[in-house]
Parts: sequence; structure tokens; C-alpha cells
Amino acid sequence: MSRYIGKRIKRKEDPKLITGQGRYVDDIEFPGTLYLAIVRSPVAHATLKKVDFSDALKLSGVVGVITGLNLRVENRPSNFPMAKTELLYVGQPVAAVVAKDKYTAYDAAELVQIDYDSLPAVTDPEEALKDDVKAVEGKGNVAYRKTYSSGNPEKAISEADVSFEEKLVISRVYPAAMEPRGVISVYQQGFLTVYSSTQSPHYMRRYLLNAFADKVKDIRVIQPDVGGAFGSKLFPYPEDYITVYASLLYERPVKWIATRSEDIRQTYHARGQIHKVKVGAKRDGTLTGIIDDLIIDLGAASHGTYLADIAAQMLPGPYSIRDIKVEVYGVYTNKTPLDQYRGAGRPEATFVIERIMSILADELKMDEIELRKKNLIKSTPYVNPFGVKYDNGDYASLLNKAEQVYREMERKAEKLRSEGRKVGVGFSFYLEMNNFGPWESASVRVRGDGRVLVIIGAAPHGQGTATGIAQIVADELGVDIDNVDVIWGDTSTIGEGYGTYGSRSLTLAGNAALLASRKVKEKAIRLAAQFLKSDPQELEYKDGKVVNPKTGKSMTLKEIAAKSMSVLGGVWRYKEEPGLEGTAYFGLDNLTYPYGSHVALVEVDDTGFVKVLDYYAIDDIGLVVNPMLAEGQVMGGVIQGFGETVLEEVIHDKEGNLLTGTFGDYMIPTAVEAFNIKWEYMEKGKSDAPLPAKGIGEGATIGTPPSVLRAMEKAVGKRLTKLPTLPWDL
Amino acid sequence: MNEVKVYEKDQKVKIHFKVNGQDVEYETEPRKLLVHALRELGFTGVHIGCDTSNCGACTVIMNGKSVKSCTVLAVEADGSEILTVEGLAKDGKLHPIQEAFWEKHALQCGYCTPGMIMEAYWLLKEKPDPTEEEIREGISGNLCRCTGYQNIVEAVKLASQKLRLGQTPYQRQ
Ligand code: FES
Ligand code: FES
Repeated sequence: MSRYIGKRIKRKEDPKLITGQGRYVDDIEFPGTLYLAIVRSPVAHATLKKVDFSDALKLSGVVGVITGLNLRVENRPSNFPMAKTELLYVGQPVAAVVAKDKYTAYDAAELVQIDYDSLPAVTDPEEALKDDVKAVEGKGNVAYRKTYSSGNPEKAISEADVSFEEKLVISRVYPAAMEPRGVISVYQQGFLTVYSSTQSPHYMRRYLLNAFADKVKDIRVIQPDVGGAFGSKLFPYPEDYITVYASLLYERPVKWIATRSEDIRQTYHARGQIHKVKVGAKRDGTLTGIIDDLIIDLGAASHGTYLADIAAQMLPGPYSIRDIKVEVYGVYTNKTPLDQYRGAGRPEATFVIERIMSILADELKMDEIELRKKNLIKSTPYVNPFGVKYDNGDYASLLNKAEQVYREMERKAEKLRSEGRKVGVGFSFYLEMNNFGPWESASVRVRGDGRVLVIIGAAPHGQGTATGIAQIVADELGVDIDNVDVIWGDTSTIGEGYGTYGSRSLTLAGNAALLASRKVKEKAIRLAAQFLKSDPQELEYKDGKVVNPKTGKSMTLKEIAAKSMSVLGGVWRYKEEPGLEGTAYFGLDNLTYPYGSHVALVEVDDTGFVKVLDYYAIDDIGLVVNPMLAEGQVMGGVIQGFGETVLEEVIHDKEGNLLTGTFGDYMIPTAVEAFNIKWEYMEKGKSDAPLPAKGIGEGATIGTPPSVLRAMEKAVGKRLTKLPTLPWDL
Repeated sequence: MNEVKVYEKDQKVKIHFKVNGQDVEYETEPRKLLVHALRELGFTGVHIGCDTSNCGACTVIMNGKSVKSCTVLAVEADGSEILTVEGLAKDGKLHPIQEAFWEKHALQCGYCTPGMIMEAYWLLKEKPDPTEEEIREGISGNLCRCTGYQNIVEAVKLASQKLRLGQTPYQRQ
């Protein structure tokens, strides 16, 4: 019986955050802290000749300047974390000034002179592919090349009744978590404690230890409250290494906090894919062949290639196409390196396949829902042409449900059109992969006073996972949720873990917590057997109690915990190990594959301003532990996806200068552009986990762009192929 | 009345102001931003989300009006009264706006939340019964990347009701 699972339980995380008692990295101070400011490359490509910091050193309060720091970190530029010989993009760290306070550090940073010889820059990925201008000296621009192929799409397209070609552009975006990145590194005689605005303290410990193993014995990483991340705070950043290095060098606590302008320049950008597709189909709407040339704009390093792989593998989406090929080209450009952002490859795949569906419907003059139905996978599990194994789902039922909303919105749109308004209804169906593993950990500990402490290896930062996991543990142990505390984000509290990314925490850490709770229950039975002088076989755990159905005797979990703790200084005379703790690690042998549909009614005014009049989303993410939290993920994700569709684009000029370097130029949606969303969920496509959830962290940023763009396209009556489509494009 | 004051760059200026009802004396360089001063004084609920006064994470109430404290110099706050998010809850009881944010799930990471709550505080003072459009306009200087704003709007509506009813019927469900 679940008292909590499935309910809209208010968040345990909130009280401190609504009173200003959250502790984000910049809120943490240590005596003697030094402040670090980074001097960054002002140009996109140049040979670095000299860094002159003599004036900076003269400033009172400056402790030192670091230049030329180079460490070997996989897939990062050779000049990492600092440019030493070559400047590769605007914003790349060149030097670090360390000073007694923030103002002095930034004053001194302005006195550092960078002497360089400009080199030609390449910013357009299609230009980069030609390899005329090199983005990185001594390297070809094609950093990555891969072919995904199934069947014979060339033949299928040449024999198709209809075919078309299109170039689909997904621009670079900036994840824009409201809290900029930041780190504090505290040195204590061979040991470091690093506080970081990260999505994965355990992973950060590992990558920092890899680089500094010869200088420290161990590194404890603590994740304080984190002000959003959306994928952007997972992977190693230059400033992490620079700050740690500075604290080792000066043997003092060192703090670095990004300004927003710095954050826009160095936080890894995302998306940045061009898909040139050729598509063939039969007259009845059956999709027969797709060829896609995928160019991914990696920026100045190659760590983002996996995003193209995910996009390629998921390109078939929920449709049963067998003749398909994706040619992947990953190119270097003189821009900030590319990495993941909410959705990571699946928004790109979904955008392309859903654009194909809508465009094909237009070409065939066919109803676009009928077209999707015709091509929809009929039964699951299903192995897609690139070997991806989709798990359970009832795609057709969900599509039918969304269709009703679509028809209703179409009727509304018809009426508005008759009043002369430019409106359109857009539809998308998405299938994604999430719960990126390999596993996650949790430890459940019952204290002597009966309070339950749950420690998870996942590292949530706004999702509300602690509340969801408290629901799971409270239900499993049969205790009041107010007695369950969930903590995370410290490498010294749980042995290993991965963190929060890829819509994984509730399912993987949640199931680990479930299994750990079960271990605690078994232990409670064994201890109670001692206390009640019963055979453990006779006892059962029910509603927070261990009961002997024969004798009617029972002990609550709290009583068992209290009895284990009763005498200080006495002896332990029971034949069972004391302690009520369980730790479990949980992994799945496949990713999970949630799916859903988005429907948008949109109006475009004469200035090209896009107003969403009505919005509906439906998801099947298996078991929903807390619908309020899931809905929150959808609402936030839809507005991010909307931003990506009509507002957000990181723009560089031809020389590689960043033109969108502040929140004044890089526009994210405000409450005025945002709109209300109606959300529903189905629980048919369960995962194979004991608690059969999937994940909802990213679904909405995947489903939104194709539905909104389709609605805009129908409103203006002109084919749209680019994210974002800005007012002047309309 | 605004009077023009001239300071030397490295001069230390002593200012006096009230934060959340408490008298504070603070010595500062003339160029220091109010947001930095407040944070140094321990009011770390006042957040910094940008360097171009676009985000509103630093919003506080100064002399009864909402200001982005990153656009005010600490010396300009001399003699003023400031209310930050830390000053809203009274005697261990949340302010109705705080309750409403909790009840409506109007925050995720919580980074925009203090600024958002202070802006809502000001908005509801000016317009006790705002329409949805007025709420959206009113908070449009405060960016939130997590929530999509829908639940924030709902929370402000609920807070408006609570405040107008002059009660804070907070029952835990
Ligand atoms: S910090 Fe962004 S507006 Fe003040
Ligand atoms: S709750 Fe994260 S920015 Fe608003």
C-alpha cells in the first residue's frame, strides 16, 4: 500500500530555499580565502606570444598570477586548462590572478596583457568541413567521423513515390542555469576539500584526482545547493583545475565564481547540429528511406561527439523505418567547446524525425497524425535499425490521446483563422532514451531515535529528487515521511556514485534506496527476533513494524532502533550484529525509453512575435512517484524548449567574436513570453526496475521544439527549418 | 533629495542602514555594489545571477521599493531601510508569499527564488489583486530557468488571496 508514492507531496527541499537559507557555493566562506579571477582570450584564434602580468603583480593585495598551466585531460584542447601557445576561442582561460578579495582580483586581471598574433578563425561548421581554414593549428578540422547504416536507403529513396531534401539547422544554445558555475578548493596538508556547483561530486573527485594524484592524497568533493545545471555542470571545466591548482600552490582556500559573462563564454554550449536529410516515402505515407548528413559543431575540443552519436542512433524515433543512414561529421571550430544540455542528442534526433514527418505530410497532402500512425512501431520491445532496444510502451494509445487534443485545438484554430488571425497547431511525438547509467547508490540508515537518513549517490540540483526518494523509502519502511531525511552531494558520505544527469536519479537512486530499505527491513526482522526471542522465520515486516502473527507481539522500527541503542557502556548480548543500515547499488541492463506527445496552438503577429495560446503535453514515464515534481519538470522543460525555438541562439561573427555575451543579448524566456501548460501522464510503459519508473527530466525539451515550430509554420504558411526561428525569419 | 557626493577611489566610507529591521554599520569602498555588501554582511539569500542587471536574482526592497541590488552602490544605501528574503518570515512563521511558493511548487533549484519572492512582495503591495497578465509583467525582470514560471504565477495568485484575506491559513497536508 502506498501512502506517498503517486501523490503530490510538497517538497522537503523548499523551506531553506524560500527563506534565503540555501547554501550555494558562493555563500560558503573560509578564513583566509583567496579569490581567483580568470583572464580570458579576447579573440577566437591566435598564436599566443606572451602574457605580461607585471603590472598585475604590483597591485596591492595580489598574491600571484598563474599562466601556462597545462594538464593532460582526455578530449580537451592540448592547451588545457589554460592557453599556452594557441588561443582557440573567445573566453578560453589564459591566466589566473589570485588576490585577497574579489574586487582586487578583477582589477588585477584587467592589468594582464595578452600579446598574440591573430590567426584566421573558422566558425561556420560547413566551412570548417571544407578544411581550408584550420580551427586548431596542426590538426584537420574533421575531429570525428562515423557512419550509422541500415539497409539500402539510396535504393529506397530512388524507388520512392515521393522524396524531398531539406537542411535542418539546430543552433548553438547556452544552458543558462541561473547560478553561474563556481568552485572553492580548500587545502589541508595533503588533502583537499572542493566545494563545487556540480552535478556529480563523485565524478569530479575522480577527474580531479586523475590530474593531481601526485600532489594530493585524496580529494573530498562537496556539492552545496546548486542553482540549476541542465547538463552543463557535469563535465570537467578549466576553472575546476585552475582553482584546485591555485589552492595547492598557495596552500590556502581559493574561490572562483563565474560572472554571467564568463559563464556564457566558457560553460559548454550545446546542440549545434546541422542535418541535411534526403527522405523517400510511398504515396500512402509509408516512410521508406532516410539519409542524413549530420554535422556537429564541436567547437575547439572533441568531447561533444557522443551527442551526434545519440542523435544518429535515435533518429528513427518511434517509427518503423529500416533503410536509413546517418553520416556523422564532427568538426572543430573556433568556438567554446560543445557538450550536453537537457536532452543531449535526443532533442536533435526528435527535431529531425518530427520535421520529416510534418514535411512529408505536407508533400503528400496527408493528415500528419494519420501519417505518424501509419509509420508508428506496432509492438514493443523493439530493436531499431541501429540496434537500440526500445523497452515497453504503448505508443498508439498515447498517440490517440494526443490526437484528440490536436483535433480540438485544430477546431479552435479554424475559428481564430476565420477571424483573420495567423494561428497554427503543431504536433510532435517523441521517443527518447534515458537513465544513463551505469548504476547509482543509496544507503538507508535508521538512527537510534528512529529517524531515517537516506544518502544517495545521485546529486540533484532542483529536481526535487530528495522528496521523491523520501516517498519511496517512507512507503517501503512504513514510516512517516517527516521522519525521513535524504542527503547527497558529498563524496565522503557514500562510497561511490555518479550523480544527476540523463533523467536518471529517481529511477536509479530511487531503486537503490528501495533495495537498501529492503535490506534494513530484513535486518530489523533479525534484530527483532533477538529482542522478541522469536525465530526470524516467524516474523514479518508490515507497516513500519516487525510482527509475529502467531503471538501477536510486535516492535516498531523505532523501538527496534531504540533498543539497539539503549545502554551506553553495557555489553551487546544478542546474537545479531547491531545497526540498522542498508546500502544498495542499482543498475539496469538497458536504458529506459519514455515517450510522449506535445500539441501547441500558436499565434504569430505581424512583427513575428510568437504567442502560444494553448499547450498540451502527455508523457508515459512508467510509474510516477510524485506527479507534482514530474509536472514541474515538464513545465520548465517546455519553456526551455520554447526558448530554443523562438529566442535562444549563441551567435558568433565571422571572426569568432561572441555577439551574445550577456543576458541582454542571449535572451531566455521571461514570464511574459512563457505560457501555461496542461500536462497528463500515462503509466503503461513501465521500466524493468523494481520500482518501474523511467525519467522525465528531459522529455519536455525534446518534445517541445518540433511542436512549436510546426505550429509557427502552419501559422505563417511557410516551411521552417531552423531552431531558433526568429521574428525576422518569419 | 538626491545630493551629489564625491568619494576618492580608495577612500573607506562608513555607512549606516537598516537591514530587516536591524541597524547595520558597514565600512566600504565607494564602488562596492549593494549586493556584494549585503552578501558580505551575511544576507546570502540575495543572489547574483548576472552582471548586466537582467536577472533579478539580487532583488531586495529598499525604502519600500523593489530594486536590483546589483544596480545600487552600497554608499547609496546609506540611511536606507532594506528588506531581504531573510527578513520575511516572522517568529518562525513563513510569510504568505513563501507559503504560496512552497504549496504551488514555484521553485526548483531555488536560485531565483529569493529575488522572485521579493519582487512578488513589491508587486502585491502595489497591486493587491493582480491579473495573470499583471503578474507576468510584474515579474518579467526576474529570470527563472527551472520552473517555466507557471507555478510562480500560481503562487503569486495564491499569495494575493492569502494576503487579501488577511490570514495565512497554512495547513500542512
Ligand atoms: S544580479 Fe542579475 S539583476 Fe542583479
Ligand atoms: S527555480 Fe531555478 S532558476 Fe528559478
